Amino acid sequence: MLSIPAASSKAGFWLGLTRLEAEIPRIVAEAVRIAEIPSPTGEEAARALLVYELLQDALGQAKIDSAGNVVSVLVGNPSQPGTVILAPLDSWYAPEDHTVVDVRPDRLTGPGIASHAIALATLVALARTLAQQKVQGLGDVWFVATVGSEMSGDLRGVCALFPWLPSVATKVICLQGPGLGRLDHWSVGTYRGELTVWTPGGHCWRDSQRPSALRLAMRFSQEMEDIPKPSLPRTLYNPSKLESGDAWNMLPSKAVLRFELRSDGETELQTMIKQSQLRASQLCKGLVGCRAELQQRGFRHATGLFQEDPLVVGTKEAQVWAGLTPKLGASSSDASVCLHYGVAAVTIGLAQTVGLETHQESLELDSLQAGLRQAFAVLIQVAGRLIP
Amino acid sequence: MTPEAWLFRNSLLVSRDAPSKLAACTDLTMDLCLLSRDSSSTLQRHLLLLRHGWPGGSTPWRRILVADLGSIDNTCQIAVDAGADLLAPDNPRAAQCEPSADGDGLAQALEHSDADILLVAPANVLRLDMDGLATLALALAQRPELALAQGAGAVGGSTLSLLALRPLLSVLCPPLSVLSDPASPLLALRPAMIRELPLARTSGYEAALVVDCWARHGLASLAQVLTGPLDWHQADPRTEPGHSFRSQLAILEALRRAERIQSNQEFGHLLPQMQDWSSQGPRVLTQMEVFPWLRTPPS
Repeated sequence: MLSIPAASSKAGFWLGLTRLEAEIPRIVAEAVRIAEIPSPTGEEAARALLVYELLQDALGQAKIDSAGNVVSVLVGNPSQPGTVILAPLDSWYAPEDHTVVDVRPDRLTGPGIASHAIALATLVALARTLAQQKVQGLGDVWFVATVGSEMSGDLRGVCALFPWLPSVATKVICLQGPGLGRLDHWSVGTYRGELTVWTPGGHCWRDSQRPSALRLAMRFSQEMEDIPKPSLPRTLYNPSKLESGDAWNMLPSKAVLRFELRSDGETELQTMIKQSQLRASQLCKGLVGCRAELQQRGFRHATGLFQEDPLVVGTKEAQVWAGLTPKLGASSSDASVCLHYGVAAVTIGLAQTVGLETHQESLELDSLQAGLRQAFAVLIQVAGRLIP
Repeated sequence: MTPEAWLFRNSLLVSRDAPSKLAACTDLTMDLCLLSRDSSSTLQRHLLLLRHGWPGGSTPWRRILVADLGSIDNTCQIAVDAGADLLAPDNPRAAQCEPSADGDGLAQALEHSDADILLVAPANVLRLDMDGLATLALALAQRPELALAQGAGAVGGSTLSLLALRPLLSVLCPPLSVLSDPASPLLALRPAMIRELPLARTSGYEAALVVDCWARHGLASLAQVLTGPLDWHQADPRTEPGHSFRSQLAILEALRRAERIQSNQEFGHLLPQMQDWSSQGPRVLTQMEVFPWLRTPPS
């Protein structure tokens, strides 16, 4: 990983940066176009097609892989290691949402503009800039827009890049819209579980001795709440959704509880998972006609890079150089999978945002320039490194 | 050309390749005109996308003209700040009081543009489909015989077309019954061929322009593109009774000029016109007038 003085002394660095900054109106316009194509997890094809066309236009070649990811490469020096830069394709809002981005001189407002249309537009702009203004001494740079990075996608897009990804790159930069100065170097360990409880049901008065599926699911949730959890590494249980019930006077015969376990520590996460499995297996013990089933809906290991890792140090340096204050943290994103497979990865944000994941999601345009400078510098630092 | 042959050759669907094909037509010049009135909430988005978000990066037009029809909000300022050429009405105060005069806006754009092709679109829609605009312009770029290409919201047309204009054309001018949506405000024009036609000043001028174009240049000079329904920021102005009235009056007058209707005099209507605005308030003159035309073709 190059230092900022070394990266900025490469031929083409400053011309490239100037070109990128001159492209801000185009980046903003393309972010609007991207955001206005709803792309819920599992239905990213329309947005992927637009990003494919933009990357094709920028680099002259791009492809959509079997998982639906858009992949393109800017071929560099073969003697240098490759770099992958990622941005997520999927959005949190549904196709039936009437998506129009409100454009104002100082901000953009509309669902998905910050998370993560601006990241996709930046990905394309970086590709276009480096293709039009060569920076000397870079290895291959792979530009990838991934599917399935939101909740229900369970990172299937980035998972599909393995085992190919480590064969072409050893470092990954993940772009996301929100959080100027954000530097996520740690993957929050996450387990998403779905507990389904079945009971015989019946009338609440006549069959009151029978168990209720809803009560059993709530008991499970309460038992999970009662488990002592360490504050360091931070560990938590979050019941997120409970579906159950029929008529007013009926005993619910089915309940579905969705919950999430999160921890910064892998050991603590595994302990919580075992506890949940144990409690689910004992929930219906001795109850006639009752059954409980726990299914895993998503999993991410708790792992990451230490603060002394060259990628983290270099990214911090680039952020300070761009005028930002680095905020080290942890998140659950495409980088989680890379880190689990031993590929160094960081996630950075590009702009100041408010109202995330609402229809009033807004991006402050004044903040974008610093976000782009940071992204460009990190990319040159990483792609310009030599094999150790 | 028979109506069947016209439908086969001149009725087009939106093509996703149109922007890149249009970019290859470097021998033609093109301008884009947005007709705006109190469009501050949509204009900035359109100007951003039309200047910087065009597929492939470089836009096919030389200039974006914003023909203001009497805005009282900051539409004009937005247009100037975004680098568009603002065409203000001759009397802004009068324009603010009168119904939107879209025909005047187009006339101003025709006067200021020396491009080979002029695209016309309303600014009060939430989104303008770039592929649709490109397909309209590409039709004119590739077919020199075309004078006008018009968008179509649906095969059956908008409500105004479906309930009023298409029945009128079917009865009075059967060759033009092939048009899906003569009330559509999305147009691509060849100014050299359109300037010689009379142009209704008011809103609802589009169908009359199509009739005049047919009368002067023939059916082969027209094309239509199924661009899909327009997503208006507020209500569709074509559903407003005044717009519908003006549109029907204009098309009847155009049909009279084309000698499809026999009438000794031009069609007229009650037209309130602001004469002055003094400290006592506006002075408005209401009189029976013939339909106001900007130009009369040489007899």
